Amino acid sequence: MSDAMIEIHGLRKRFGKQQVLDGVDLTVPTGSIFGFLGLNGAGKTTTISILLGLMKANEGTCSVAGVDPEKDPVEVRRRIGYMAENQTMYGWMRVQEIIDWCGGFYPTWDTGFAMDLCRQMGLSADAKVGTLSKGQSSKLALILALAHRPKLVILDDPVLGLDPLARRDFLRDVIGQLQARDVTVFFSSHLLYEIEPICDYVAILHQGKIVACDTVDALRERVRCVELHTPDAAALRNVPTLLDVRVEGNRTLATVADYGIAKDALTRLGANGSFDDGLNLDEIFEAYVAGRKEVAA
Amino acid sequence: MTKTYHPIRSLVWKEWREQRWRFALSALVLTTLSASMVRAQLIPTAESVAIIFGPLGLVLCVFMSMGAVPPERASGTWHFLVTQPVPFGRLLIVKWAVGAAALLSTLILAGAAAYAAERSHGNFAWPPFPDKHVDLPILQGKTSTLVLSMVGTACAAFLTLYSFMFAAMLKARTELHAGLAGILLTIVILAWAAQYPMIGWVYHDEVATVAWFSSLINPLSPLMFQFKENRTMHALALTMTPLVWVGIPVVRWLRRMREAE
Repeated sequence: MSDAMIEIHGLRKRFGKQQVLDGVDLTVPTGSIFGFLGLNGAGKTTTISILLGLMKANEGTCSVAGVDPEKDPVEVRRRIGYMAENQTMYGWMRVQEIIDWCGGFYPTWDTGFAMDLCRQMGLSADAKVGTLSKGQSSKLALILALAHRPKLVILDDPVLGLDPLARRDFLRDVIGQLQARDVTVFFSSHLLYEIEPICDYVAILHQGKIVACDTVDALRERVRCVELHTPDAAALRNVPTLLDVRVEGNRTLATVADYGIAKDALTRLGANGSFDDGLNLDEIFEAYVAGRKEVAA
Repeated sequence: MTKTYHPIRSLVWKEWREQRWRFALSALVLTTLSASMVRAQLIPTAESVAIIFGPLGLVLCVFMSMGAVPPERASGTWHFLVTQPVPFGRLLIVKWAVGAAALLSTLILAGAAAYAAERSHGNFAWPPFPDKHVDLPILQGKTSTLVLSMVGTACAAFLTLYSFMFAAMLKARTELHAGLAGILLTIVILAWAAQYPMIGWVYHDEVATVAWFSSLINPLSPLMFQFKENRTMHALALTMTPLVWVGIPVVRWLRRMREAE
């Protein structure tokens, strides 16, 4: 078996004239917590829908937990746990009922484990799903995604719509439940600062393409913001891997995707060698998806 | 509720829990209405039964089919359901089957209630059109066979109608949209069925115009029989029918393919 839990090659998807995915290549290592980042509408949910076998790609191949979702979508969904953004469940069911109901679809379902998780997360088995708060609903959705003990969990923007406290609680539960169980987590989100502490790897999806994919530490090491004293607009354009240029007062800040490659060019432009402490994921993401490579006139 | 692996049982349980109030309401209204009308002798003949049960059956078909998928789309649970590890086709079949069972049970219950009311009191002519049908040698002395076959035919007709509506409402985003689609489909079906009594009037100018268009695009139109001697009409129908029923879908498909490229 391959060491990758998810493998995507050359994935393309078009809706009418809109090219949503334009040759996505991605490998999610087994056992990792993988952040899949992108702006709203970048194609994250479309990618996940294809991974779940809910949608067919126009081109490309993918494998999820060793299964091709286009050929056997049911087996893929049986092997993984999935939690959708703003997941709506049957409000008329009680927590116990929805756990039993979902159990009917999975041969490996463990009701006892699900009830243990409910107790740990403070959910009452008798509560009606419709009466749960958003935070509690997210916890229940997470329990339903975990109770058949999958090796891969796909979380599609699971904290969307939660208030900051509920987000913090939810992420704490995710970390607590998943890291201890050697589960691979594919975590799509646009709230970067929330997921930075829990992700091992991140991929940034922008305009249907993966523009960056690496470990969080490697990205922070590679992507640097450099201060230049004498900016030359024409010369700046030739800096390799340039992502963004900003003018702040009398100084110019250039962000490059690979400092190792761009170092010489930056030095020639008068980089003084003093860098930021290191960009956080939010700043790296912003440089990739909203970076301007021209100095404003 | 089962705690073991059994996808179909899980699906049926959920559908039954969601649809049972529709079944209860339909059965209560239809059973009470039919039994009380027979009992009060407001329905003296089987023809009246057809007049009452026909529209009620249509309403029932709309009511049952609009409860299958549209409420799930409206509430957002549809995505949760289709992401469960169960084949999409099986999921739809279960939804269809639970609605169909509720529809048939309601019709049979209402029919039984009407029959019981007639047996206890009333002036009810059963089976319908006895002078026409019982004269058939094959059915002489087989009233129960005739009754059963009529009930079976009615159930099959409503089941077919329900299936059409179920399919038509699959993409409706709310129950309101589904209801409107159901009403529109009912009107189309009634309009088509209404061609049968119109056959007698087909030589009236306005009816003939309708017949002309209807026959051109629909070789199954009852009015087509009126033009069986008209070869020009046959040639036109042979040209128009594939244009409408094959040409339009092919053009749409080609346009979609061009967009996909």
